[in-house]
Amino acid sequence: MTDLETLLRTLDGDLRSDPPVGADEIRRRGQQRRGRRHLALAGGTAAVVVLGATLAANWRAPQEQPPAGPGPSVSAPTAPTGSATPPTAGDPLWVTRVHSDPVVFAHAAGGSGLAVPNATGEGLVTQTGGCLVLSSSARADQAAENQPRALILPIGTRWTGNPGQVRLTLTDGRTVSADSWITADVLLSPRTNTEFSASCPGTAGYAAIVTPEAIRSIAPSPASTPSSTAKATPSADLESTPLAAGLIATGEGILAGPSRSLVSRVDAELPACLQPAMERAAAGATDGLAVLLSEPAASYARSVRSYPDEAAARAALQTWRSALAACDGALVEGTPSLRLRVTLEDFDAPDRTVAIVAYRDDPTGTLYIANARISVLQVGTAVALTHSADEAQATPSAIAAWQDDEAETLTLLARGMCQFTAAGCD
Amino acid sequence: MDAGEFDRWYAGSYPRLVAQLTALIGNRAEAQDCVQEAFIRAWDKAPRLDSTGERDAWVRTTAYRLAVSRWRRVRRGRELSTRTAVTGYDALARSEVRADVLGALLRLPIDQRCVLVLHYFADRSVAQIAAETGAPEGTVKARLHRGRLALADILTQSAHGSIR
Repeated sequence: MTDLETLLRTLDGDLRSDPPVGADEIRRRGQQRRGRRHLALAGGTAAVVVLGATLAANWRAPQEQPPAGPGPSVSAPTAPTGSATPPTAGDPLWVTRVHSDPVVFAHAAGGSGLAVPNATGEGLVTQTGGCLVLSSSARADQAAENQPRALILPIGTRWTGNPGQVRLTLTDGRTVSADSWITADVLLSPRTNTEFSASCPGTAGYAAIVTPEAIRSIAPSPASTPSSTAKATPSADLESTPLAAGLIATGEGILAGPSRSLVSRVDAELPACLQPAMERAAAGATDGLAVLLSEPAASYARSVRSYPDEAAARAALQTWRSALAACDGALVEGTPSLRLRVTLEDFDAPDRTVAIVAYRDDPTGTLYIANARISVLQVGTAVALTHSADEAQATPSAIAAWQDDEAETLTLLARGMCQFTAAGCD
Repeated sequence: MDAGEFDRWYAGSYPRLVAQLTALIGNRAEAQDCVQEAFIRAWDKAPRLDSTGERDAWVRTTAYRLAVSRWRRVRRGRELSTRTAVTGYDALARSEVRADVLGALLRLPIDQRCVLVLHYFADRSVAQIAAETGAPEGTVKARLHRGRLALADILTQSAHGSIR
């Protein structure tokens, strides 16, 4: 038989292939990805940050993209009804007018299928220049970065309002009205895009929502709720936490929540060694909310609990920290020798802890194809917990990569939990 | 890492990382996609990768995780290799013998396959493989040894027509 080493090295040579795209394109996409993360992080400052104004400073404008047609996975559109109006000269071909007063745009049927969200953020649905726009709750001014964006709603969106009442119904049945506060995956144009400037004076660029699923939440504007003028109630605060940010159900995945009933279910999926911490965390909390993304071989859960005061929240964080540390070396229930190996990372920050859990067989040192990542974050009177589990091996380089991922998620959550602090965030 | 350094790294490492991932998952098109996406993420994280000095390992791990993640979504089975192997590699190998080698490699347990790929494709030492996979050096040596034996056995059987 031919020498094995020679065969393998020959195979290595045969399987190599040159890059299909140049390094400059890779860097361009990497830059866009960095921009998206910055935008998502800034967009997480729930009650006060909007697409545009605050974000422009730390977000590099994306490259021009092809017209934002609907993706191929979009279900067959429902023809716009009600007071739908024909397009006006100057309207981009890839949109349709759902309504004329105010002008409401939605994706037209068909399209390039190239529309891909490039940002996650939150904004206020309001009116500017006679159009429905995505705007800041802060006062707009002449600076482009503070101007609202023309809002392009998902394909099939219908006008279902009455005169004087702005109301749009998405194909999934949810409704969007003026003063809705939405959190969504959006395709943002550069601010210099002028496709809608003639139809919607006073806007700068556009924000296109490709599918109804891209809208993660629709809530009343913070400014229109009683809680914004007084101290927010715990439940209102919890609901504005961007718990589902970045969790996107694909394929057979199912995203459940946000829901109060899911909190105990999220706890139940944690390793058994955390049981005492779960009970203490639940006992002291005044309220809780959770989301859960379940895939065939993975699950991603996030919960947030509010506490009567900061001291109680800090105590809950410490409880989780201690319990996570104590889990290191714990025997996995029902196995003779499989043990948890916990790598803790606090990032030198007093308010957060990331635990990466590996599963190892004690006698052989075998690393099992499974892992869990558990992160805990305290912001003011609230504590958020994230739990991800899948079948990847917790190798050292994977652990380092996961710590990065978890740190990003915690930063996003932290920014969205400012309302739990007395002083707010910087 | 500046743009020029990244470009040189990408041009030099992409081909071998695609080969390594193909040998791990059995599908070159999937491997190309995942390695490309891993490089995009690498540029996103370029400042932090500067200090690791293990860029190839980072891209390899990230690309593998992406492949595993995609695999979960299509839910083709518990092992990455077996199903993609039958359809994915045939057109790539330049000879039947080499196709057999890849097919044989994909029949190995993932731990043994991983060690063989890291050793023969990535030229990693036992100590480096231990560091990258988190397995003790003794375990790596054992997997390397068993993997070679198993691979030779599968190829021998294949040559005698006892497989398929």
